[in-house]
Amino acid sequence: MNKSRVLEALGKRWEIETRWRSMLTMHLRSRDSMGRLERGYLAGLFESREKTVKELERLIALTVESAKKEGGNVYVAKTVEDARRYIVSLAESRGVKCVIKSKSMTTEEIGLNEALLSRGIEVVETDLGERIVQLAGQRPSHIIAPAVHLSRDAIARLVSEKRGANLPPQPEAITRFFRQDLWADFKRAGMGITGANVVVAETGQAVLVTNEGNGRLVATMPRILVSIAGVEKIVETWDDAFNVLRVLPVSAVGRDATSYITVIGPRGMSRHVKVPEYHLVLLDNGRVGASRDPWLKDALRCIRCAACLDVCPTFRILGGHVFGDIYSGPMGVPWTAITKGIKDASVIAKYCVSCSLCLHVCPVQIDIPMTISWIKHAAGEKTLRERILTTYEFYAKLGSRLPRLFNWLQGSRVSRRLMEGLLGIDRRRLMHRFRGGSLYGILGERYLSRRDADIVYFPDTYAAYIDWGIGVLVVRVLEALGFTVAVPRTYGSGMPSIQYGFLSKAKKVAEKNVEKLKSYVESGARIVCSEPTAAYCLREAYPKILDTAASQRVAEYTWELTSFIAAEAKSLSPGTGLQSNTYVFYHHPCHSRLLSPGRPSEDLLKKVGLNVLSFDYGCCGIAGTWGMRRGAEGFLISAEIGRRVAEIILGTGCMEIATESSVCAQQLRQFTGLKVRHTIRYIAETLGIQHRDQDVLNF
Amino acid sequence: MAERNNSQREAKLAKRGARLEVEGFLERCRNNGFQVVHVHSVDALVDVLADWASSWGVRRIVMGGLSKGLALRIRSGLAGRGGYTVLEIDRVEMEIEEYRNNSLGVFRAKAGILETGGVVIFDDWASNLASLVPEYSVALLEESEILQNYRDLASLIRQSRPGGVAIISGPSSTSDIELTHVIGVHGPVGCGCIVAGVELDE
Ligand code: SF4
Ligand code: SF4
Repeated sequence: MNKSRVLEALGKRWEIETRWRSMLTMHLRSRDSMGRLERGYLAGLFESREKTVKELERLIALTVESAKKEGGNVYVAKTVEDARRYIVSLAESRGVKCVIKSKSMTTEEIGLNEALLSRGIEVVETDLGERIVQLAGQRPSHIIAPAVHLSRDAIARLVSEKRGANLPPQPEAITRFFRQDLWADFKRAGMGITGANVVVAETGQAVLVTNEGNGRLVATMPRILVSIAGVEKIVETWDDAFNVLRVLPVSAVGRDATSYITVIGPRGMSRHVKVPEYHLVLLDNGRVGASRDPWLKDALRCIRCAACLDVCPTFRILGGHVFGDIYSGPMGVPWTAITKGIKDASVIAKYCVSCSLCLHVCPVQIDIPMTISWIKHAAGEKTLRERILTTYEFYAKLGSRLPRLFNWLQGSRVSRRLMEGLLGIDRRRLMHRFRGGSLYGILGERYLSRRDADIVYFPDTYAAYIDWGIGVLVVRVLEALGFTVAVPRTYGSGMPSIQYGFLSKAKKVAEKNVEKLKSYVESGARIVCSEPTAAYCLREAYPKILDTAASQRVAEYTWELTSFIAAEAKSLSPGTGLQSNTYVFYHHPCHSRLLSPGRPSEDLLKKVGLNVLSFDYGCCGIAGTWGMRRGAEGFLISAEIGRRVAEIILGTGCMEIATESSVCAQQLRQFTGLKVRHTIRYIAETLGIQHRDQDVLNF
Repeated sequence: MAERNNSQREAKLAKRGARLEVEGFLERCRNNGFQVVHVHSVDALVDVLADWASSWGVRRIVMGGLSKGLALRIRSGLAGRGGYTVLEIDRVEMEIEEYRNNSLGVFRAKAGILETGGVVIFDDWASNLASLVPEYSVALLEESEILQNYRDLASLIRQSRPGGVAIISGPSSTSDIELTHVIGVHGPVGCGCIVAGVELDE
């Protein structure tokens, strides 16, 4: 993590504000529209993209053949240099003085603008956002909203200065200015360059999705037209293409269709009747190799919708100039690995905190968080502090033995300064208090070695060692619901190791836990986790790390606690212990979003008679131990998110918060100042299980 | 004869539930920012064109890709109303600047897409220009040309193998500045779609 760049980004208050608001809005629009999309398109899209990854070389050959049949020139560039050389020498040999471009990340990847400019060829970006960042001398900060970091005032000032206009800070006036200003460039340019959202192998045509009409004008006006696309954009048939075209705008901006879809080829609809000279450049640059790499191949399914950027908590704060290379945000990490290598990717991988929201929203189910963990692992550059954080469970065990000392240390200014210096735990972070003792010790042998259970409770570090009170309550609730519960001694889920890319260590923990749990599962017991992150590890991460039948089986039998209760205890009804006039804000932890469709906990709380409010702002910003890390390494970014989330929650007027994650509780308590309770406590009250606030220490 | 043809057609449409489809299609187009209307004669179509042109404040009508018969009927219909300059994009050499500002482009769409609310052009450079360059544009479409969804369009593309396709689902727009939606960037500032319950190219 580049601390000075983080601090610089954190200093740009207005940029953070603009970006946060915009990303949140885009995410909410996309989420609502995706919910309405016919499911067949998503299934079709997945199949189409998988076919591309599996048969990439065959489809490249088919595209070349079809495009040639259409009468176009096709060039498959192995490297960025090859692609750049082809286009630059084409422009030079035709005497082109000015090139107009529609938005294309692939041209960013090959550094085309710089190459053309170095040969004296003028380049004019025609997408509004791209033109703005071009005038600013910056690179796009977001793959579909290049200027999302700039305010209207900044844009008006910039354009006025660079183009000699006198523009008010009004988007309408700025847009009207560009309509006039760029029209002259459309008319005079000798060459047009477009990217492509899809390339259709069966006909060899490129397809462009735009809203502004610049893509159509670029394809219509100049005599020479070049389309450039990464080879992974190829799909085999038009049916495959329309799967992409149907889902892309919905996932990107929440619209059923963008204003324009343009199909380009040598027989395209140019103002010269057909395109006088057409070239299709297909770029490999690591893609074919990646299609054979078990960790990177899935990223080739990406359709560049940017839904993952909009939901990513650290991206919302830092933006693509920090959390990004050519490709930015979550998808940018595997894409930097594919196109530039692991070392470059590992630089931006550090900004990922493994919340998994990007996987949750990705229409082609790319497991970006696990791929990023692997990239961190493969890069091998870990800090001592990261290493220390993976020993979190050891620290918790020690705290369970010496609670007074640990609680004192966590409360004392001097020791917090020491902890900050030595362990890298930010002194401003509110820490959980230790109860003393462990859940295993409290429950005793009966629960530890029971073999006749139909439920195995997996408490993870917090309920096992920091506060066993919540663990005891979970067991009591499950028993009250008629289940026989076993609590065998297990290791913490190992999430810090996964998060910081210590996959060998994570593998060892996963092996031990799977080994312990598999015999229960074989006899039909289900595993229930009160920490959503633990359920995520058992269900999603372990099978990927271990890739064994046993880990797969354990995954299939694992449940997140409240989803389990929602599914199993259908007869739960409003309990006597609850006050029905209580308004509770429900915070949905990131990992439970991924694991259970819908909002089972929220529905459950409503079912037992609570007035529940919620808001889909995404991650609360703590992300396990990451939000505890010192300054720019974690806490400062975490606090930026936490403050914004708190503002939303406090705005609802709720006086308490329900959630399932112990770390989310830590963050929410710190930034809202409200009481935070585990959802299970409301269920316990419904079932008449008495407990006091002091029975559970922190939430 | 024409009347009989029309009533046969109506019966066919009613049977296919096409009426509902037209309404659904127009509704989706409207949501995408089109002005929409359903007409049952070419005269009515010309009336709508004239109304829209005057509401948009343009007096120059530019036709692209229309059949000779339809172009003639629109030209004479507008001539009857007076005050319009009617051009036809029929030559490559035609100065594009002539129909960029204060113009309304009229083009013939190949199909409409019910599911997403858009119109489609195949292979026609003049339709492409009329739908793209002028400040305003209007698509003309027959009821029977409305397709259900992209899957139907994929089949049509496979049959016809067009060299170029444009699917238009609203006016040109951007949200690049603070996510504020602004209509009218490089393409038309306003657009319309007229669905005709009669054949247009007779
Ligand atoms: S897992 Fe979370 S933090 Fe990491 S890239 Fe995805 S959204 Fe961003
Ligand atoms: S990784 Fe998934 S969500 Fe992100 S841009 Fe690609 S397709 Fe969209």
